[in-house]
This record gives sequence, structure tokens and C-alpha cells, in this order.
Amino acid sequence: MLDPDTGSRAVLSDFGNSALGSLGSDPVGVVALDPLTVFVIDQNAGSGQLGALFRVDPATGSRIVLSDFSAAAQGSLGAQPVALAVESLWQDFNRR
Amino acid sequence: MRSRWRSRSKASGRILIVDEGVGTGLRGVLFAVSAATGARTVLSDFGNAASGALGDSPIAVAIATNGEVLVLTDRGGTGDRGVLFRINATTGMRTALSDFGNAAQGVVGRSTSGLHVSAAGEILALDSDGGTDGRGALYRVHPVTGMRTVLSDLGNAAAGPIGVRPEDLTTDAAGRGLIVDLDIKTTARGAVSRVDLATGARVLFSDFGLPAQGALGLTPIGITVVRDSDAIFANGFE
Repeated sequence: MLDPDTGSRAVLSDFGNSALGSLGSDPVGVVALDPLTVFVIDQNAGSGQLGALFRVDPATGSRIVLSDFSAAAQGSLGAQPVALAVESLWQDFNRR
Repeated sequence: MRSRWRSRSKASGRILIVDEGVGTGLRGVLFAVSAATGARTVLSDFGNAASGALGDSPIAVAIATNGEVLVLTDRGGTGDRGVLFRINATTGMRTALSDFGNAAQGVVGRSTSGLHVSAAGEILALDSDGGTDGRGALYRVHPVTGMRTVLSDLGNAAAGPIGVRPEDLTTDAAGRGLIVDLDIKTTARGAVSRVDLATGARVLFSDFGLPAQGALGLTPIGITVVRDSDAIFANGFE
């Protein structure tokens, strides 16, 4: 996490630390839905290493796998998810 | 200055994710993922001509101010230099907005990387090998004509720190650009530069190899700004 004024950094969630949740592999994209919800896409994580979408708690750094791209029960399989966006940000902007 | 965004409840909305390794002909797909359940559906298959112009290797996604989805591909289009698509958020139908190999639409791209729509509705795209000496370029793309203009040449030292491999970008609450570069500055650990979107001038914001700015990073590759708190998140791997 970067300070918006100074650029100073602090580690929010170490994807190699299993105490914070499922391990990551190659996190390549990040987006925030709101101050309470950050999503990270990892192109090689998940049960079959086909990628995973993590939800990260910005207060604690704890992670859960929201969507495992190797799990057919959650929909079509992935292979190399590389980028993401959250739809509701602009919907909210437009509603003003 | 506070952002004009408002957030909805914690788990509402869809998360749109591009995957470059699946779909018809392995040309890639755009997934829509429920933020509540994680359930995935294919919104647009870039190898399916029935959904519009074919694409190849989608690498970045953003939401336009009109609710359309914008996806940037690394391949496809004239000379295989990538295409910026407009995609209907409901049907998944695609229209090519800017062909990065078509000189009639402005500066020809080399290796597209990042994509972002600013609060003002400007479409911003990154080319990791564009600009002077292939150090990277930040383009502004016209939302109707698809015309590209260079907003900041990352190979031009007169405009600020030289780039190496810019991969992602966003804008902060003050309307400034933030570009994350895998490789520049101290010990080549990467950095975030701030960009004046009016002039293209850049300044170094956070050097991931500089301990005085906090925990060291390595190859930062993604960046986002939390709209209600102005906090900035960046991530990397290795």
C-alpha cells in the first residue's frame, strides 16, 4: 500500500505467507471496489494453477480465494487471467 | 481533494477479468465474475466472430464512463500490434475502437500493456515498448474516433524519469496519472511515476528499491487507487 502523499510503502498482504490465507503465485493485477474490498488477480494460483481471484481485507491483509479458475463448479475454466476491473465503480460515478 | 466516486455495498457488482489463454482458438476471453460468489461467465470470446471483430491476447480491461467495457489486446489488428475494443457489458458484442497498427489512427503501437479510464472519461493506454528508444509511451485515445496521441513519451528525459517497462496505470484523486514500471530506478526493482495528464511531465513517486520509502518491492506490475480513501495499492511478483 502506498501513501498517496509521500509514496511510502507498507506491505499489506504477503502472498507467500499462508497465515494470511491461500498462497499466491504470480499476482499481476489489483483493483479496489471500495476501502473495504481489494481484489487481486493471480495468473498461476488456484487449485490447478489456472489462476485465482483473491479478495483481500485492506485492514488486515487477510485473503480468500473468491474465484478459483481451476474450479469448474464456479464456471468456465481459465488459463492465464492477467487483468481486472470492477464494474460498479463507474456505475456509481454515473449515478451521481 | 476527495474523489467524486461513491462506493456500493461491499460485495456488489461484477469483476471483469481478461484471460489470454482460453477461448476459441486460445485467443482469450473476457470473464464476468460475481463479486459476491465468484461465479464466472464468459462475457466475450475473442475468437468468436459472431461476437464481433476478432481479438487476440487481451491484456488489460477498464470500464468507460458510459458503462461499456474497454479491452486492450496485445495482438491482433494491423501488423499484430494490438487493438482497443469497446464491448457491450450485457451482450459481449465487440467493436474495434483503435487499431494500434493503423497509422491513420495515430502513433503506431509496439507492445500494448496498460489501460485506464480517468474520472474525466479520458481513455489512457500504455505501450511498454513505445516512445523514444522503446522506453514506453502513454497514449490518450479518443473515445469516438480511436485516434491515439502521445501524452507522455517515457523515453524523453526532459519530461521526467525514463521508463523501462511500464505495465499498468491509474489516476489519483487529484487527476494525476500513476504509472507502474517493472524495472526503473534503484537496483531496478521498479517504481511508480506520477504524470501530469495535461503536460505529460513525470516525477518519481515511489522507488521500490529505496528503503527510505518503506518495504522493498520487486517488479511491481499492477496499481489501483481506492476511490473513497485515495489509498494506492500496487502489487508485483517474484
